[in-house]
Amino acid sequence: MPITGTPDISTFQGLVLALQQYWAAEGCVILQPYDMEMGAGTFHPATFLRAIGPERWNAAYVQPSRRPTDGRYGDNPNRGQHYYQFQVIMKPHPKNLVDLYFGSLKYLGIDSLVHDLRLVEDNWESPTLGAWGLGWEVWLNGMEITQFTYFQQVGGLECFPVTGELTYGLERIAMYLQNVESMFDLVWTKNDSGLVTYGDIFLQNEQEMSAYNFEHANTDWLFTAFDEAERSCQKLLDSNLPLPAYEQVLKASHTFNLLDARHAISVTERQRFILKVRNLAKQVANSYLFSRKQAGFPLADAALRTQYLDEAAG
Amino acid sequence: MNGPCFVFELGCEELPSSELPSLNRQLHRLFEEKLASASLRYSDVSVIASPRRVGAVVSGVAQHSDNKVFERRGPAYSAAYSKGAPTKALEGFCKSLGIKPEQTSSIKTEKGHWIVYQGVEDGKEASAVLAQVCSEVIRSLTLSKLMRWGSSRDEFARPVHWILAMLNEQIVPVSMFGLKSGNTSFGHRFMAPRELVIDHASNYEMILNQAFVIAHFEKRTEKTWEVIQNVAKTQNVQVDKDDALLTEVTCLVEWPVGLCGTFEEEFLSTPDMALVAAMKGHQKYFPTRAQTGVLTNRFITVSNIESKDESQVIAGNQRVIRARLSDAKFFYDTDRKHTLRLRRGRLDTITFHPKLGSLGAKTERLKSLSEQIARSIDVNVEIVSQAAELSRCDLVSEMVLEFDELQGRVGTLYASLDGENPDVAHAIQGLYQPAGASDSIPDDLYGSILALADRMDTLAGLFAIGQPPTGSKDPFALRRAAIGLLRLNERSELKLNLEPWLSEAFHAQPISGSATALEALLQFISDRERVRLTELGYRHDIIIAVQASNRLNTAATGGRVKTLTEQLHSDDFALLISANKRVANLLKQNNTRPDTINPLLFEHASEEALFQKAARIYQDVERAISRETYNEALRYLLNMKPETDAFFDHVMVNSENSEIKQNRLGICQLVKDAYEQLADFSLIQQ
Repeated sequence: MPITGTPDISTFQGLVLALQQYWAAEGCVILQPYDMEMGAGTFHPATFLRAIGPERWNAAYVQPSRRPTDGRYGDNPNRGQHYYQFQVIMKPHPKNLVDLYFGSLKYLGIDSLVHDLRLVEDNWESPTLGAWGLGWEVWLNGMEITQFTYFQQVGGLECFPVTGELTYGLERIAMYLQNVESMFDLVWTKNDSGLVTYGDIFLQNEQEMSAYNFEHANTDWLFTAFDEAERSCQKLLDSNLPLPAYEQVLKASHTFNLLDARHAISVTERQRFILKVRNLAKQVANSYLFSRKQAGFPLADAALRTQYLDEAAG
Repeated sequence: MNGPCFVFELGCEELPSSELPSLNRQLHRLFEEKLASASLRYSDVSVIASPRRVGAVVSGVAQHSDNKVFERRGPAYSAAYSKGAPTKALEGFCKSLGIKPEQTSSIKTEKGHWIVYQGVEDGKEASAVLAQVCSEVIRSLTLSKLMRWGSSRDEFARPVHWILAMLNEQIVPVSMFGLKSGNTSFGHRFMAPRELVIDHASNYEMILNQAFVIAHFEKRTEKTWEVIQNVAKTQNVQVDKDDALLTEVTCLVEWPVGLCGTFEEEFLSTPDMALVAAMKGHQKYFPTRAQTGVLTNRFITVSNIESKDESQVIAGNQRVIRARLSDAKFFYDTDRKHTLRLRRGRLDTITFHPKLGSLGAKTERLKSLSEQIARSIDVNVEIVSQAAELSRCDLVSEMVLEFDELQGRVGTLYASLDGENPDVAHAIQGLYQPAGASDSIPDDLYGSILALADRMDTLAGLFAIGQPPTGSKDPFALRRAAIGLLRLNERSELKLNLEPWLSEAFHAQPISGSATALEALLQFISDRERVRLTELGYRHDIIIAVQASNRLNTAATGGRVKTLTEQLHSDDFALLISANKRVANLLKQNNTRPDTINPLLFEHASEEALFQKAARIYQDVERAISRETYNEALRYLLNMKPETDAFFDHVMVNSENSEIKQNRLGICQLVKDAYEQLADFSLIQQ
């Protein structure tokens, strides 16, 4: 049932609630953020793992995203080491996913007859996840507000059926809707005692976390932590436990990002670290597919299930 | 424009702007090819290529494809009739073709007397032919990246949603991508978001136009440029024609609307190149200039809708460019806190290639090689040396990290702001030129030396570590580097023999490559030169004949090949070839290459005459070649003819006296040597 009515998008939390409402009405499971550090909503198991194999899956969630190198000590109005993505995942994607997406903008009050909306070619690739897809960045009057991707490969495995992924940049959209020039000026909510801004909640966090990322993170320990995550992941894979093994991939990936922010990794080593994470991600993907096969792909359509199970047998 | 009209349109989600120009070209070619091979006549093909649709309108289509005459060979005549009556063999043949024996005839060939049937295959109805043509065209498209969507195995550039295929008012049944063709298209995604019934194929363009879509690529390009020009006129500014940007923008809209935005004047203190890069590269805006040529604070953007409130579109775009320009200004201000020279150290920490060391090490090699070249042609070594030292320093500037297409130009700008020698500063940007076939070589000699030396270093390095290009894999663009090298070496002050220089570059690498690898490198350059000249239309045998004598004096190859090609069909040229053949054959038979001639052993005056003449001609040809007057060189060679003829008329080269024989072969060798200064004529096929 498509949603009707007008949401309150004058606040940041109103925007999140509106998107949740919209995609809930389109049949998505509304999930909560994953409780680990990650660079983007794509890393959430609800995207990375669920994009693998034949099973149906529709979900939407907010994911706090951490990119240590993007930290600016709260000085840059458009950039932070911590920000929010709103992620929508649909597998197989409905034929009219593009229309549904523009429908969500309309629901947010963005009139496509006033604003210039554009789908501009963008080929997405994540070297660490062994994943790539084709799609667009969505432009609103020249500003990128969403990444739209049809996954072709994840963890080195072909995506079939194809998952459609939408990643809304929440701060950017909110800055537009609220007409403010700095993310820290965004109104998070309004209550009887006045306004609560994004800055009230996150400015100190940006300042302190930037200092941690760039100056204080203990690189010796981080190198150890990376190695340990890699070892644990391998052990967990040996025990056929893809979900905890994947958490070790997340740990390794974020640890690598921190080391990168500390300039602790040289250019050549960088490639080696990325390859290590990708190698783990690929093994986890295979292990996860195997585990779902053992379970008989319960969420798949009959025809596809048979096809996948036969393939597995052969 | 007699005959029916046909329209085919494949409706897609927004196609990549990088793919659309190629799709436009391919559709043109493929529709023409497939219609021709299907023998279906038509008067015109016009291609549809816009973000949401590709296809073609074919007008003046014939009702049927052309009849095709064919011939079938039957049994031998002797086996076809028995006592005047058709045999089983003939009856079987006729039955297979659905004809009567009377309709056959016979033919006598070298291999006997046979029954034949000459028939005519009727042309097929246009509708059926067109359906086939469309399937073949779509199947034959080459796309750089394919994708799947939904639960389908079909692949295309983006998901496909509908197929329109109509001959006049009739639907032509086509099925592909799990869809069946119909009589509907769709309008502009936002301004006319509805199904459009196409009542007649010839109304396609009009109906689409009413639904805010200009489907034809060239028409939309024209319209886009027109709306940009109109805005420029209203604002009293000028817009540089940038075909690549115009094409890209055309690929992003179905209904171009030009708008003008502004940014704060204070940004104009940032160098133009950074502002232009931010506007064009990120935002696809057209920068504007005042009538004086000075960059203004106004930009033109092309939107895809006639907005109900343009001011909001403009305000949104201004907001984005402000952030981009703030970044550009920030990068520039940050960069200016240090000199370019101070950045040199950081290049030592950046890997060029794991086996070939850092960018710093590459800079050192470049410096040394450029200095040696400068010294060899008597050019100011210090300028070349300094330019090499600074040449890659801009790679670690914020500006180039953000806008990599500005590499080199930023170096030149920063060097001149730092007060470096103007020639040094100017030379830096030459390093990357020519960037491709359409790019020019540096306009200064110093920059050309840098560019030449750097390409030699890169080529030498990758060959030394055994990573030459293979097949379609050429990650370091070595083919392009080689072509660039050949073009640079054509500069009149350079014209180097590349062989010793490539060898020098090869031995300067941190890894000692094998002799085979060096040989492969020299062969690679020679092959690139041959490919380049072949592509210009020159004959393969002439090119290798010149290369055989010229080796890697590449600057001279083109001129020699051109002269030989021009003279190829003249009578004189035939004489040259035959005269050369005569001496070459004698030397080959005797398998010798004598290098001394003793005049005391001459028995006949014609030996002395040819010896004197050949020795003089050798020098004449040598001088002509150094002046690059190759026609003159050919004329000198021809001048040897009377003496050569007299020589062969009066003496037997293969004398019984081996000393005399060897001496006469020596004269032959001298003649051959004179020829081979220009080309190895024995490789030319007459």
